[in-house]
Amino acid sequence: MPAGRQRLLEASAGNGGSGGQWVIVAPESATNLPKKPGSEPLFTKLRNPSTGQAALYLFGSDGCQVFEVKAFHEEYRSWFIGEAVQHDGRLLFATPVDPLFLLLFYLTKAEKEGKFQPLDQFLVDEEFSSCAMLLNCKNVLQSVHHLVDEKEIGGRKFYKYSEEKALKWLKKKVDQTVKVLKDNDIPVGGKVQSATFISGKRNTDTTEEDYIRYAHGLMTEYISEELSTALAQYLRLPQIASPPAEPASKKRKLSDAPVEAEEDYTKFNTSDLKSKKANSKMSAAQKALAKVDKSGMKTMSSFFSSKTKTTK
Amino acid sequence: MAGEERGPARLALLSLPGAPRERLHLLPCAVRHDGAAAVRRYFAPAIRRPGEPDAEASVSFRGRSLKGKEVLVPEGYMGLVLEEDDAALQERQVRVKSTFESLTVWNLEQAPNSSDEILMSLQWPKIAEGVRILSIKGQGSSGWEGPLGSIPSGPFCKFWYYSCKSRKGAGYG
Amino acid sequence: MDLSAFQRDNAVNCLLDSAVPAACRSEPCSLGIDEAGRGPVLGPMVYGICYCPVDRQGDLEALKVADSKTLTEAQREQLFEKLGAAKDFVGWALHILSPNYISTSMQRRAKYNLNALSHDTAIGLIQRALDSGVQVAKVFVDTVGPAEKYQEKLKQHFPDLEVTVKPKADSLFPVVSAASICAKVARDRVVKNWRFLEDLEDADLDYGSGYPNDPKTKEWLTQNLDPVFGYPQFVRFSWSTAQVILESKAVPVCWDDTEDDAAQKNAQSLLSYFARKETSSKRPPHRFFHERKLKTVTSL
Repeated sequence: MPAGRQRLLEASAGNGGSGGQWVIVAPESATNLPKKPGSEPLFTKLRNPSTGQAALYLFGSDGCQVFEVKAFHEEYRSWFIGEAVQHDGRLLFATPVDPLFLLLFYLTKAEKEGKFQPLDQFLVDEEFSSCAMLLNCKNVLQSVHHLVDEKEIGGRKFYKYSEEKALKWLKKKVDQTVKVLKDNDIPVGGKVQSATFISGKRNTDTTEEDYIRYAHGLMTEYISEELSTALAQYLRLPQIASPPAEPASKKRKLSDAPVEAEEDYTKFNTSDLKSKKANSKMSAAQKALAKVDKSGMKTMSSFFSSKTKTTK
Repeated sequence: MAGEERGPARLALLSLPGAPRERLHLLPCAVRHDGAAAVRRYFAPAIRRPGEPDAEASVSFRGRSLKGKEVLVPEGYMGLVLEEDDAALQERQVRVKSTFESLTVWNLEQAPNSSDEILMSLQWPKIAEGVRILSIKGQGSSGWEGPLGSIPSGPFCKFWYYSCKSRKGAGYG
Repeated sequence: MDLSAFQRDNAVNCLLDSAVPAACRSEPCSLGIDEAGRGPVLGPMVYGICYCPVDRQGDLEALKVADSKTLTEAQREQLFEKLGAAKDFVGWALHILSPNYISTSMQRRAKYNLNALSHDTAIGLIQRALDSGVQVAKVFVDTVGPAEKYQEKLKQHFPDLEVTVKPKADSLFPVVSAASICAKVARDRVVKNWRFLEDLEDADLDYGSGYPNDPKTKEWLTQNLDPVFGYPQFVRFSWSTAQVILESKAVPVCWDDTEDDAAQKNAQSLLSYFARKETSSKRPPHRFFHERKLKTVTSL
């Protein structure tokens, strides 16, 4: 008995480990029956487009859709499931993710070579071979033009990453996200204001910039640090003065610490921008920025103000 | 960790139709055990829930007071308990062991409220879908056949409680 | 004594009392307080008060009430009958503290110790008597803890009353003896007919007196352990007798305020902090995810 108990304790030490059983919330559409035999949904690892590191994803039947898997994970949680107990108290969520984000990781990586390639050649990754499946996702081929310049040679299509296009596409994503944040009354200003949140009233102190900054922060979870910086510039997000006590570079270091720290991460997001030196990447962003005319900005702000009026 | 080395796992959809619906309780403690638990004997009969639908439930576990709230799986989503199918031959396979439509979230001494992490985390699917959809006409957006045709507006909480009311939740046995 | 309310739901406390005799509304009264079932690891703790006009304490004494511990169960039942027959000048009230209430109070985040719990219950019962019109003048209390402090506390609450807190008060003052009889009778009846609210159709009811040193009780605790749940709510989980068995024989359960586990966790997170630093220089997640404790999953 003591030996068995010891084993139990060790196995569960992290509480993130799993005893071969998982509790997950997934879209109903993820369990649609496949049209082709042997193409049932697949849990597989892909590169997180933000970090380049392994993360779990779920391809729906026939690989039509891709879902990212996140977990509500609190240290002291376990499940009773029917007549059983499961020590791993995580609640997994499979939620749709735009496959273009995952594609973008490979496109930007290849950009260094700067040549036109067929799409499948971008997605050669020995460590994460499942990434080739991304091309089967619905509408990927039709929408990849948001991110690339195209050339057709001898009936074959060749592509090259375009940061200018990508930024334009990301800005639309940010606009869409702002709308979603507002529609769902997600508190985006300063700290969480639980009282405001509960009453369902929007904090009047929250500015459009807060929303854009927040949406940009969410977007940063899906793009590289360089692109995130470029996007912030493209969105004309003003830099927030970081607390005078600590220089931005130190702050950045701090953000490597485990996430237990009670911090307002908007600060980190903005300090990212501050600490980032203008590099060769930036010139592309700046070029793009130069092309953005002021009417574009106007459209954005008018969109927001009209939105604010129509929501209660 | 051994888990890090695991390869892709196929979800055996044939296991879904026959999977039983089970009751889930998320406990505010780490029970260092995987296996049988006499929930029906010890736990379920001890749960006290007042009449009103949104009222907090109470129970105790190991002599500690728990307060809980039943929440529904987000609209358009389903709750699955997956288990590794060790009998699978070539590739890894997970099968649906059971399904759930709601779960009871228990906290120590104070019932979860809408600013609790767990309840807020249930907003994530809706936000994720919103971020995913690019509703720009004529641009060949990478559309997604989400469970929600469009994103309904209005406060999340309201939506949440609506769906709580509209779907007949399972009572306690 | 109608215990049906408690028996309907013995997860929670229950108050019950006699009618207030007319004499007790018009004449100054002596009120005695005692408890039954403080020591046992099983069942409720019952607080009892008994009161009668100061002038009629002799009549109460004539009923031959005595410290409940010196009496047999049959004698106590008989005396309780006699107290009932003397309802024209004797009144009583009981507060049954369910074992579940005791367990959860003592194991609360902000611990509520048994002495404080006892004192608060006694205060509540005195207040209840006052509220229902009893002309309380003198209060006699039996105590197991330090008498002076307790007396001080009661006097602070009830500056107009003459309070006497004394060890062995149950053998010195008839009102306290009577209170001890009421409390003990209620505790015995409840324990004897304990209705498990758990679904234990084959429950073993041979649990003895419930005192930790009773071999039958010990045997019952060993035989009726569930590895996950431990015990039904009949058991006081906060008693060391129960805790020792749970720690050695049941599945470990850790809470965010479990002390030794917190220390272990700190050491662990420090280790994982260094480990993480080596393998990756991860950006912190956006606050949307941080505030929801949503983390990336790396493998199934």
